[in-house]
Amino acid sequence: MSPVCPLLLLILAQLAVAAQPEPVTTILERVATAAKQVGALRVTFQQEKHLAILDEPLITTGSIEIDRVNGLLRWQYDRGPVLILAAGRVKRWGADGKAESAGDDPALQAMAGQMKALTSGDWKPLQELFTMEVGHGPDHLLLRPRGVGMTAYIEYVEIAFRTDGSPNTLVLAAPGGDRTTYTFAMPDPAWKPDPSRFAGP
Amino acid sequence: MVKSSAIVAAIIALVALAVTGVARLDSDLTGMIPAADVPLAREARFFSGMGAIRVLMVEAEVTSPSADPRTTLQSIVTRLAPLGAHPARDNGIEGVAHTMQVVAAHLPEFLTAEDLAETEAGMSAEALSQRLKDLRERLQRPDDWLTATAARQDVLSLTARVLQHFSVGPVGARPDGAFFTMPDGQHMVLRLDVDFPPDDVGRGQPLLAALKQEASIAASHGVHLRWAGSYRHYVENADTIQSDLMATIPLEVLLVGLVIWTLVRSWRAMLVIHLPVVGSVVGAMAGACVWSLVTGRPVPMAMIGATAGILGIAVDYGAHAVVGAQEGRRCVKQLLLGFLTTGAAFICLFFSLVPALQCLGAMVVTGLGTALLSTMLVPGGRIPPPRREPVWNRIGASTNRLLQRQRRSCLLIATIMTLATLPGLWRLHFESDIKTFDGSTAQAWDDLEVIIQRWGTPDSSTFIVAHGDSPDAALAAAAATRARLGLGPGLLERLVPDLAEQARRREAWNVFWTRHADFPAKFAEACRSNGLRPEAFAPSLAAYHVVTQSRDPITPESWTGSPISAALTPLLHRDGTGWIAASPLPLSGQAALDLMERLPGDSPGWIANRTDLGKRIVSAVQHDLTSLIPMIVAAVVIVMTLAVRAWRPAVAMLLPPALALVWAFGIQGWMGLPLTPFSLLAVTFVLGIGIDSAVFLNAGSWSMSAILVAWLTTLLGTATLLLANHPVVWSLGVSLSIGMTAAFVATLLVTPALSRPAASPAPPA
Repeated sequence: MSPVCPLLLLILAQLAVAAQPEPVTTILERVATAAKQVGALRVTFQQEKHLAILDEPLITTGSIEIDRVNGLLRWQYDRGPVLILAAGRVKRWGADGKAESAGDDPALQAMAGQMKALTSGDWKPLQELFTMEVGHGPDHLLLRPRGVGMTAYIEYVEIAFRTDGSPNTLVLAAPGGDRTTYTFAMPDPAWKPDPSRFAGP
Repeated sequence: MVKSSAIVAAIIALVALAVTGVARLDSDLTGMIPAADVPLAREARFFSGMGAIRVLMVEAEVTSPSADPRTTLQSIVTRLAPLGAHPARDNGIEGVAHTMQVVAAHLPEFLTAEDLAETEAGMSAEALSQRLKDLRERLQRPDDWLTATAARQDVLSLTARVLQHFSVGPVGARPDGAFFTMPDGQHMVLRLDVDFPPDDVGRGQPLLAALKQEASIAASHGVHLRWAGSYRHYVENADTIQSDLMATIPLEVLLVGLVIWTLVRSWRAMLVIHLPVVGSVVGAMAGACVWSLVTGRPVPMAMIGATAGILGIAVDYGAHAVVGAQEGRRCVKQLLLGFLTTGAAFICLFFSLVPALQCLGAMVVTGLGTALLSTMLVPGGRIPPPRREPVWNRIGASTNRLLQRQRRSCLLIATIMTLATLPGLWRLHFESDIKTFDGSTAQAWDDLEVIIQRWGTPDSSTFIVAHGDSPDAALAAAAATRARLGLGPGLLERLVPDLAEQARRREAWNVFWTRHADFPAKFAEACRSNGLRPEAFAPSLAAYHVVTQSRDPITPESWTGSPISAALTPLLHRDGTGWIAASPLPLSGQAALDLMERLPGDSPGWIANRTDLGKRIVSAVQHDLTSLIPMIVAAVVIVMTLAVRAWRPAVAMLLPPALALVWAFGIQGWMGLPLTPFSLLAVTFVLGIGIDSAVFLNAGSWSMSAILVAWLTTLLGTATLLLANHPVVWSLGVSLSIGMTAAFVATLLVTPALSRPAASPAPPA
């Protein structure tokens, strides 16, 4: 064997290590650390639903307001419903401002976990329901359901984070081609939380 | 040397047997049930196999407008989880999704004819179009993430139709995560499953203590907490008994010790007097062990209470033996006669059909026998007489003189007392409310009542039970029994229908879809008219078609891995003989009893009712005990007659305990105190000490001081029980105090009056 070969192998190995994606724990820790720097923020988003049973996508916009100090989140669709996460529970108001029961809606419960993660910046608790791996980019977190039950309704959730730890996009994919994509604008860290915004519409 | 070795060997053997007896203790209810009462024994075995209800219900009531009961209950969930209590409803999304998957995979087997009839109404072209229009409208909601995916898999929501039958929450309440909320918004409830059984008081105490602390915190936030479940009753009973023992035992020991000291005035004598006491406890447990080994049954835990009575009689033996030894007398003959008569009464319990009573008989006979043998170890010459004459000797002597002088008056008083107390016997009644034996706080019962009224019983207490060689045979028998009673399928029949029923449902499903063979075409048209893509609903259309009968059926294993599995396990389980299906009935109390009455005799299943079981067991034991009374009386009379061979002393010794029982129960009748198994237990005490006192008094006036002290120590011991808060301990104290006093007074009034005068033997030189 030529003496060049071991050297080549060594270089290739080095390259392989350099190209290896960021481990999940590193992403989670970086996101959590970044979240701790910001006590409150407001971010606008666009939601694009591509459903297999519809020809056209359903596009809506909205905003998310987070008070990390008090563990509060307001998720509002423009001219649409308002969801408020407080004390670990999600309350819902319809577009008409009327409070609606949200207690036993499994879909809302599924989203509640992600809302809590957004609020705290700690995505680790989601590991109870999902396996986590690095997604299609170095800052992409790919979540797949652990249980056989959920796989019928959720194929995967992929979150792409910015370098500052804030989410850039979130994709919720279901078997059969249903896909909802959130694209988040840059957060407004100067935003000051107003307690009344987390009490109701 | 040989004699000492034999005694040591006997002691070691007895201790070993006693330890084995303790190890064979069991709280299993079947030991309390007459062997001949097959249905009751079967029911007790069933509930024993099902285990105790491991549920704790916690209710939060809003008392302030700003209160948040959910936060309070959430805090309780977090606080109690490390202590072994967890929310029962697994409403986690994975649990729900898994359950939906199981149902979706077996729709033809889960849907009943009624379900299909209801589905029929939505199969017209107009109805389908309206359904899809509603779906499209729903999809416009931006925060709806899963409806489209779920609708593609089951557009007619047949899975949801099945799942609605699995809801086991309180009627009228809305499920809210791990909680249920009443429509008034003021009340929420949390149902907790507990990892350990209710009789594990050691783990129950910290659980309840944590709840109490949470209640204090909640009160300051405008939330009133209530909680109910067996755990509360077990812990509160244990706490009450513990505080009762702390309050009574030191006082009892002090008073009894003082009285005995005034009689014997010697530390050595004080120690020796307790030899029969230790012997009786060891002997009683050894007897229980032998009984257990012979019958192959465990030792019933409740019988441990009998050792208190045996112990009291043993103290009596000790007092007589020591006083006799101090005076240089051997009173073996009197002790033997007392033992033989009491033993004869309890040997009759061997003929009882109740295993626990047989065990009691063995315990009393061996316990008192060992106590008697222990008195033989009292070293006669080594216990010096007291330096100063005990005050009891003077009291005894003057009492003797009085009784000898007033024989007729004594008999007259005894007659008057008998006539006065006799009508009380007709006023006696057995306690029918088993709740009165409970030492829980009034608050515990109030909370239970409020929770049951608002939310229903914590768990089903009534079941249709059916047996079979296989799970399916048991399920089919349970379903058939429900049908005989005109009841629809219950939770068990809905979760795992028997195979024949599944075949019927598949047949109905096939008929349905044959009739709706045009469904795909009609549905595609409805989709197009609502702007939906029909091909996206391919999973639904693949599920809605005729199936073969050879499909995999629903079995208990179908639910493996889902939250339903844990709920199903106790409802369909194996015992030694085969499979048992337990179909819960939402009934309790009188409604359950009425249903039991209605059940046809040839039904393949039977009804088990937990709420009424305790009452029926107590009634069965009382009936058995009552039927043995003539035999006990006959045995005692025969032994006494054979032993003394003269009617006058026999009557002088037998009449006092008999009169004591009449007086004691007559007084209880006049006082309105009901009879309980515990007051019947007190009879052992009254009979034993009553006979002993009469035997000794009949032997001569020399034993009067020991009789006085034995009575006083026993009375002091039992009277301290009146300080107890636990109803059972208190009622035992009342029964024993009345009974002991009656036995003492009857002995004093009757025995000297009927005995030959100057029967006292001269002490040996």
